[in-house]
Amino acid sequence: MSIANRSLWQHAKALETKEYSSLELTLSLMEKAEKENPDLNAYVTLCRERALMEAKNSDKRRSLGNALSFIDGIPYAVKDNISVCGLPLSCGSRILEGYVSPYDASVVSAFSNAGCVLLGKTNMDEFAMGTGTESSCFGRTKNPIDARYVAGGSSGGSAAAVAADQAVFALGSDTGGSVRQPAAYCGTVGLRPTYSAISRYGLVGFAPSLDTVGIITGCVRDSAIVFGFAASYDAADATCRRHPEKDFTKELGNGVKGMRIALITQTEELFLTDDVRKALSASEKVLADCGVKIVRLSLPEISNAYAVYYTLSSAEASSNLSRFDGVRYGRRATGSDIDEILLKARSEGFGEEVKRRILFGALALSKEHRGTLYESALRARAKLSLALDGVLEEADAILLPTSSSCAYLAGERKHALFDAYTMDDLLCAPASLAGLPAISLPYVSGNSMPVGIQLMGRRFSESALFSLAEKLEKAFQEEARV
Amino acid sequence: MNEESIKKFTAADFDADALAEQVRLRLSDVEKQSFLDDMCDMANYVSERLFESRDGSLVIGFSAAKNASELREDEPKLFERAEEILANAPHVKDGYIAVPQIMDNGEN
Repeated sequence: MSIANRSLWQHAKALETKEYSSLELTLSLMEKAEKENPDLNAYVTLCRERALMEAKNSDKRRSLGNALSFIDGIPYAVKDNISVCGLPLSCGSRILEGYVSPYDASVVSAFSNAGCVLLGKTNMDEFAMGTGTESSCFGRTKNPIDARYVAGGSSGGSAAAVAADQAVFALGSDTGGSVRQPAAYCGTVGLRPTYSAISRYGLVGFAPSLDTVGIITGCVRDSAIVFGFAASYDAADATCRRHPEKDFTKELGNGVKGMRIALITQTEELFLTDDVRKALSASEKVLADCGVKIVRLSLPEISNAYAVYYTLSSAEASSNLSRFDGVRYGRRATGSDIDEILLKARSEGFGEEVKRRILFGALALSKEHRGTLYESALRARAKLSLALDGVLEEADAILLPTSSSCAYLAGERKHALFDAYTMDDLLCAPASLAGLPAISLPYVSGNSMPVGIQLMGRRFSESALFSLAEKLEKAFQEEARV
Repeated sequence: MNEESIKKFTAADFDADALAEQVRLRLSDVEKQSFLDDMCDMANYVSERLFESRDGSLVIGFSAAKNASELREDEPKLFERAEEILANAPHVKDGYIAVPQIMDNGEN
């Protein structure tokens, strides 16, 4: 059996039985990444020497019977807004030119302690603002399935790396869908965990009340395994909470008969492509055949999700990104005085999309307009969250598309304020706004590009989500084989 | 919803120069117009969508983390990693980050 295109679980088993070594696996993925990256552009930093050294150390530990964990020696990638000590951190932006992280993010430490091998940092939309990984200062990441299409965003590099078998799994960040949507576009599995389940210490903030570290894998089982290592209480993140569960694989393979899944009637009324509707219907049928009860519930608050998300995320971004001025780190501009220096650094350092959101965020927070914009958005967020909690009292999870369509052509939505974001954010934003976990898995019909099906659950219900998602995944794979 | 009472934004409602100065951005004339149009569109969209949420009696407080965070104890620790911070500074002088002058020594 070839070393290529295996799941994390299969690789871990192979390392355990010494079918091949971590060094062989790492070399295989690294060489593939080095060969393909000039075109695919999934990575912005590849760390060959470090990766090979970590792989050799892993093999040595294993030979002595001292493997650190089940995933000791598994190679992975990290989105370039997550801090890795000694490696550049760019957030896809010129303004952080030359910046090298002085510490590891807590989630990176967790995987380092588990013995995983870091391959490199992946490309992203600038400061996580975007849906295509087109706004990065390093150029766009292509979709590995069809290079004409975007890889999705903002964690497009991470999704592309996993889809192209250049990493066994990858970390991303999800504020309003930035893990789920690129995972869908690239045909991978993307998990946005419960807000506070994974430490954000070392994740560069975009909108801290919405940001989470997310996980991209090739299959649901792998997602459950990786999440088990990532979810951990961290005193360095004041919002981090202890997850009540430890083993997220324990419900995999269990029956889901008797569970209740909600379909929100308003999402079915959106403009969705035929592929997405087909995927939604197929999902409903699979779950019904498994004995799941499908209930249709109305959630009118969901139609405000985009307005709420855009307002709050822009407001928080406007505040968060005020720290980037080239004075203490990053790209410093020259000028006659402090004002000139700050203006030049930020104007030359930030891209168009970032500027747009900073400006709107400042507007939303302004004295004249904060009542109409920001405070209204806060109230609407509370209402939506309460409404979602209400739905999740009547159902174990909510089924909805990840995106209104498959990936779009590169350049097609470069500046389309409402086309690009309205539909996609409307489907991903609710989970973000309410702090709920959500997983996206791919559905492929014929030769078309994959679309994403999303399951959203109660807080800290990742195990149940994995169980449901695996059922769908197996059925989709069966259908694709026929 | 009384459509007449929904705030309708126009370009006149926004002082793009003041906003840009506040967030320390210098915009070209083309950028200014483009961003102004976008802000107008978005503000009107949000204003219309969230009209019902302007009700001040509605709850404004929300925590995605649902409270119950565990806060660590305050333990004073000596910070000994200044060199790592300085390594990223564009300009270092005598062990400090050299920053552009802000005060004008009282001349103005």
